Amino acid sequence: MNNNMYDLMVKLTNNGFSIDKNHFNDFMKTVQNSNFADLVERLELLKRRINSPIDIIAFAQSFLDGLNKLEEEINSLNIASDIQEKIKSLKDKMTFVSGYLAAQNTLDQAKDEYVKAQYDLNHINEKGLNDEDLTIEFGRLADESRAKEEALYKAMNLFNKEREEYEKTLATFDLLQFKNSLTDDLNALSTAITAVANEDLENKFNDIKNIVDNFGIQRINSQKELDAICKNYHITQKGQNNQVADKKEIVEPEPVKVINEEKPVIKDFFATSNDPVLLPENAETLKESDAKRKNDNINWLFNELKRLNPRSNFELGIPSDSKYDALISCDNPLSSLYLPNGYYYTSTSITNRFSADENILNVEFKALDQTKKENANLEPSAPTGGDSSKEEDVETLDQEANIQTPVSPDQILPEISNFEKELEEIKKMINYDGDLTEEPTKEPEIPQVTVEKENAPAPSVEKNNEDIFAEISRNTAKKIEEEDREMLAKQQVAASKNEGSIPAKKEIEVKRTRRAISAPMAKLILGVTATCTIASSLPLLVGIPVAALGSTISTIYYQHIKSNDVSSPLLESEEQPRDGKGILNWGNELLKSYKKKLANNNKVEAQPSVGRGGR
Amino acid sequence: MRVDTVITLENGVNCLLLEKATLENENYFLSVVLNESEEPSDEYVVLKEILKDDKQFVIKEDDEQILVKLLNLFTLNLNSEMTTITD
Repeated sequence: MNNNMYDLMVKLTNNGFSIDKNHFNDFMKTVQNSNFADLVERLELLKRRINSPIDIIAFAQSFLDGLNKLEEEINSLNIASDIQEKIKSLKDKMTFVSGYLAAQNTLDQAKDEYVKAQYDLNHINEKGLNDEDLTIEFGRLADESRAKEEALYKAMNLFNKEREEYEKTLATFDLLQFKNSLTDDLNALSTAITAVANEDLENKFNDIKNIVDNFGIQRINSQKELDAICKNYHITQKGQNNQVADKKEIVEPEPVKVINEEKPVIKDFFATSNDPVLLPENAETLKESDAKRKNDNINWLFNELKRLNPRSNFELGIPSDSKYDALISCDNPLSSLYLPNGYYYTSTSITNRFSADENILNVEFKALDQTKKENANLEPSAPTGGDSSKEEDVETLDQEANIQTPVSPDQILPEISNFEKELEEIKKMINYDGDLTEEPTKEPEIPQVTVEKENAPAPSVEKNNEDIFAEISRNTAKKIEEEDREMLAKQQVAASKNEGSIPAKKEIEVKRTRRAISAPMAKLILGVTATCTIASSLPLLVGIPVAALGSTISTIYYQHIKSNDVSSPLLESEEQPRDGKGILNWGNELLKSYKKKLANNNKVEAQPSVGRGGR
Repeated sequence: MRVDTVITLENGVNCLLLEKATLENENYFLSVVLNESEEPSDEYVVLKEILKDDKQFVIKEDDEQILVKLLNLFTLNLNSEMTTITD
């Protein structure tokens, strides 16, 4: 990161922050004693989190399901109470999204029915009917299939319309106000349920309360941290949202059991300095609890590695460089190990920094025999009054702070700065997982890593090869603008003339098949772009849901791509594509925006080659 | 052939298979041609799978009516996948 003060100030103002001129001297004092570059980076990250979209749909589904279960229980108990009214009041607060949810359910059902009708039609021969019966049955199934197709288009149109309405509502959505309003009603409901004194009811109520507590919590916590930092550093925010200060007390989230055992941590970016900690909470308590959490996470990682790789031997130790949190040594190569979800290997470490915003670990990795050799060469540890030549054998990191181990020059690992080298290593690691041509019907081996899906992020077995995709795209990010026009022209010409590297009307043998591991989002966007490109080449677009494609692109863009750094006037315009050229433009724009987002996400850190463990 | 695989054709072209759809008992794959650096290019094709003499072949689909039906199915698949992806 560029630590030039001018650039940092520009970055600060670009993110909507500025020095409070009434407290300029105080600002100068606090800045002198701290790492200002880290501060600016932290503010930027918090701002990004606050502005990132939250999944209201998923929340609404869980919340309404919870309310329905509670209502069923109440009805079955036949209690004379106003609980039903209170439940209804809560449900009424979700009307802005319930139309969308209903349309989505209808669409899912219509899709299933259409697919089934198609399947029945395609497999009519398997029924073993005679010619006459087959003819009649075909007529019936063909009519049914047509009817299902029409119903599907209707459902799609309704869904698109409901989504438009819902997205209009989102423009004025206020998370805090919404949560406060829910909390008021939940508090009233809680009182009514307590009066009934029924354990089942209380349990169901607590489930609903947890859902509300966790909704948007990252944004709320980020806002709190941002406000605290701004207050301590005398920084003002543009168009500062005073809602947190003005709003009544919201229900503080109680400690909720998190399935993956990672607790949210306010990252202490002062950790590497001796500066006074300026966070409003007790500084010492924060630092101690941060260190303990980190130790817990490291121990967790160590135990997970042992569990996932029972035939490998692992040892936990002290890293050779302070940039690492720990050292893990193993008697098998890193690339052969199974790693927990969200963790990846670089050439020298195991880390989750590509997939996590909090509880980031960066653990050095070495071969076990190399570690033992280096330990044998090390100077004795700091004098503790004991035998200075005794080798430290650290099983946990609790003693870390008290041990000072000098770093041998041989342990300084070479920096990989040559991008071509990185690219070579990336190519070796991604995409190729053995030649499947000998056994085309065998299922590929997938690392059996258990994934706790409930309340956890989406499956990440393939998720963060997104970063690998970003590494590959990074060298083309600079050329994106000038390539756009050429690409569009080429696509249209090639699509219309049916040219390309695959000749038409000719059977071509498949010589080799390799497994490709691609991030779900990257694959989805390529799929959408492909569909748009092929659709654009067809003279008659009748029957092709151009509007549906446009809606899909809009949804992906708004939910996963749009941010402070990435915006597309084309995709944000109200005019949806109506023809082949329009849909082609939209598809290309989506891909371009996605590449830009990846390039932005990775431009700060220059990483060595990245891979995900597996066999 | 399966989705999420890279196939190498006899003319040396590599294709990444993105989506699969079945129509009238035939398997079709929405694919992107990979360039020399094994990155997705701008060329997208729909390939029809043919199994013959224990070998796998593909043929580029260019029948408009079939492509229209396939694109509908691919769009449905993509919509379905979209709802399962979270960041």
